[in-house]
Amino acid sequence: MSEELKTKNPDVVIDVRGESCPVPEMEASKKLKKMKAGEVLEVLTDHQPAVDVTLPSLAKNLGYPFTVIKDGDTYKVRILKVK
Amino acid sequence: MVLSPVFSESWAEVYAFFALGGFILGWVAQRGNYCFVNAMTSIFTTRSFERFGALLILFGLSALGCGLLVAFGVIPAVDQYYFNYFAGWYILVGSFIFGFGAALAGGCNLSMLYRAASGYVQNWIELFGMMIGTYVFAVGIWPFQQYTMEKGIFSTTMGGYVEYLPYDIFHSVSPMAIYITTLMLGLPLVLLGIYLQQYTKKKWLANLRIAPQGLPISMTISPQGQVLGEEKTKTSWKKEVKDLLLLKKPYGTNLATVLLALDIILVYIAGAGYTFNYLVITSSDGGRFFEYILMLFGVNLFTNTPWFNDSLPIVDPSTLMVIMLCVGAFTASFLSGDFKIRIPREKKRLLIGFLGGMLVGIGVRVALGCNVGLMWTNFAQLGYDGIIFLFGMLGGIYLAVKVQERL
Repeated sequence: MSEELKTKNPDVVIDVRGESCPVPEMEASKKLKKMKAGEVLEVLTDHQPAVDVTLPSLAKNLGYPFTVIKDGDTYKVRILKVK
Repeated sequence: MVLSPVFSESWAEVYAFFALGGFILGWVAQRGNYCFVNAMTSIFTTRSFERFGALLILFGLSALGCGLLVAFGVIPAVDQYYFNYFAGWYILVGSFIFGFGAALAGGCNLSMLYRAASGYVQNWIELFGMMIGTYVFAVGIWPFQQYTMEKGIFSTTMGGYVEYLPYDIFHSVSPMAIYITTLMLGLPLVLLGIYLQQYTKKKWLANLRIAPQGLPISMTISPQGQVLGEEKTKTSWKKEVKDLLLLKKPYGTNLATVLLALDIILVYIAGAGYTFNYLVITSSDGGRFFEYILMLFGVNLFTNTPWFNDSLPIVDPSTLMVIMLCVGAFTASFLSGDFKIRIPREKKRLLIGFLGGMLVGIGVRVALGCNVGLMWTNFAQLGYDGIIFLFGMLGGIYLAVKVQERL
């Protein structure tokens, strides 16, 4: 599942760079609700707490696997919608 | 009744304590990413109560710490109820507006300030919006609100002991009445907070039960696939402490909660008898910065503008506390390498930040305080205004989450 998250191209990308909490979590939650099972959401953020706390919390609460890709100053948080 | 000094300190020392209190507040809030709004939005977005539980623990510990100091005679009771505000329609309405605006803008009064000091342009815009909102409130709402407060229309006509829970429940401010009230208010908050956190963690574990033990729950990797860091089910506590001290890792929610509770107790003890001895700040000073800026251009709002003409002097301990909060947050973000000027990619977010900030400014002034100076502080004061504020703010945030889903 982790490999799938690393290699699969995201189906939906949201760019919340420059934004702080609660915006990344709220935007990600909004998008995930509209996505289909099996699709990957990629959240682009430079807000460390969103990477450390809020987006993982969102994924764990929903039971969705996630992974974080660090690309320079930007983090790509990929969440797989499984149900 | 007059406030009674706990220690015989000079004003310089009182200012120094308030400066330290502000610095700790900014530092800990930045390292712990403490945001009251975020703690509440996650209830409505994902049914997660982890951070909201921490908030209740913070209120409970603050009530227990300050209440027990009074119950055991360390601090006179008058110091706890002297600055209790009036209660009325405006707290519920104001906290609702505040919650709605803060969730849209991206931060409560505390997170707005520490993030602004960490380089978030969105929060600079929010702060500016708040200044304008304070002015709108002052000229458009305050005269009417003041009338209802003076006439007792859906409002109490005096604060102080009238809004002190030991007096409301036992008609007494005796040590025993304060002791029992402190336990009645503080313990359930702490226990409910712990229960909500455990409930959320059990939910996470149930969702992750398919993952084999010992394997990372998630990992941080480079674009080339190199593993940069892993979140494991267990981490050595020695490494944890080292990472916290070296600012490599942010404070956990509960560590930040305990440190913040200790901070409010420090300021409560140090300021007893001298001033409003709580973390009262952030909203009125944030709004008053607009007054100070206009002074540079020869415009003096305090001479003829409602609310501003009744405000505190420019240099007081709480102004210093706000400034030191920003210094503490900047220092923490700079030393940890987190400081960076960040501009939202979506430009409409700047407009939303400004409008949200205006609502924050209006909301906090209507409510007579913000999430720090009224809600959190009032729990420590054993009052009931904080409870009203909590429900109003939750209502405003719920509406903001629904609106945000449609934007």
